[in-house]
Amino acid sequence: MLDYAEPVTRLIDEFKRLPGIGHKSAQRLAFHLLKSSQEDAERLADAIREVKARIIFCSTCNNLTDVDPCRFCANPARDRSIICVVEEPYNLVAIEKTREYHGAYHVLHGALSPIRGIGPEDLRIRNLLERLRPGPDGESEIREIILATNPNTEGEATANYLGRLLKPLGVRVTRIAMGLPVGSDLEYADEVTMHKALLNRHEM
Amino acid sequence: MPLHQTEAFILRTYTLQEADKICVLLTRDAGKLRGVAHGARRLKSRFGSSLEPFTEVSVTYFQKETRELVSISSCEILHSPFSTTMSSELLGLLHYLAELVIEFLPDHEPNDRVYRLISAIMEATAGATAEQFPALARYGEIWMLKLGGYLPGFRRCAECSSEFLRQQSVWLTSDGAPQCAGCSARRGEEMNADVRLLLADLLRQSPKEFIEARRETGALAQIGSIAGRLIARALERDLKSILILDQLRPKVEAVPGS
Ligand SMILES: [Zn+2]
Ligand SMILES: [Zn+2]
Repeated sequence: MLDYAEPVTRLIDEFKRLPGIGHKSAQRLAFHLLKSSQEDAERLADAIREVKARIIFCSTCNNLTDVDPCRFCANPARDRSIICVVEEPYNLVAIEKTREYHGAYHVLHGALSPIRGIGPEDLRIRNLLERLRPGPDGESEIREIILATNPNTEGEATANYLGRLLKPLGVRVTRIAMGLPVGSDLEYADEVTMHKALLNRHEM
Repeated sequence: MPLHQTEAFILRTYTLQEADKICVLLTRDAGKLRGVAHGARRLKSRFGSSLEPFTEVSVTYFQKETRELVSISSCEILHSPFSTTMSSELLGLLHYLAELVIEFLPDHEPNDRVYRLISAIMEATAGATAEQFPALARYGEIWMLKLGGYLPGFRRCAECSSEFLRQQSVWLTSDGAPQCAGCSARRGEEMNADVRLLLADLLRQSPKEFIEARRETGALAQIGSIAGRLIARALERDLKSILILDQLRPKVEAVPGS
């Protein structure tokens, strides 16, 4: 195999550690950078340095943020009595896009996945329980927890675990509905999705 | 490019780039396969929920001789564990069984006995409670060890070949091989008659019969720890999911600090 100069090999090796990047892509990225201007390369390096230096987890909801508490937790216009629990910070973006949800969030940073070695202790559940702590009047501020983990096996099992953990604490626990995507066709629905859609039907 | 159709269990999926999934399948006709399902991550994918773990499907795929990965063209759901409640304990059992099959079964080797084993365990899972899942995990691990040739015989002493009596204790060497009192000098882990009887039941009964009989949890736990050591020895490492199984039942506690 052709040997590149040591700094080039090092850059290729670093790119290869990124998700979804194989040897060929790593090589292509490295040579793209070699051809680009000094400023372009500096800008990329600065962006990487800055994101690592300034982005932290919100101490209340675990969202990615540059200020603590994050802008959702600090916003007085948001309803703090409802918490929507999601797996990853980017799931929150999908819910915000609806412009219909005005409550608070909690990011677990994953879902239960024993085959990947991920159990309850690897998720950020502890500080969710702390948020349910009763105030000075003996009542918890939280009225409802919406479990918005992914509608797949791991997300569903995570919601099941959290539901059983939280309900005995006296809080209302709900699960987002599972069913058919809007704009689709019943003809193409698989039987499990159709079954869930029927289960989650509502009064007209 | 030859087209194949067979029944299969989805064991595990990985995401591949934006829209695709890689699936590990246990097929009835071709053993364990890895395949790509193009577009499976899209919301309106034709694969729908058919690629969730332990869904039994009728799968159609293309296989290029030069490629390790087959290309999955369609999946029809035959049975889905997702239609019942997906509890955290059930997820644990399914992931553990998947990991056992993935680690013990080589790719592209048809194995009807493993397929029937998983089929029978999944059937038993449907009516089982979370309290019965450990018995199903023991059933799966002992049988995977046996079918892989890693389970020692428990009828005779591994040293002197004398047949064990029904009420006799035996002692296990560090390799897990059973010895009589004389050969072992009663050193090593003792396996009493109850545990041997339970193991014999497990190897004789269907998973449904095995979990329906009342089980002493201590004996079942000992079979689990013996199996765990045999698995670690066979694979030269522990399985990831076994370390998580005990954590999956929520421990309801008071709110911290209240
Ligand atoms: Zn926050
Ligand atoms: Zn002997």
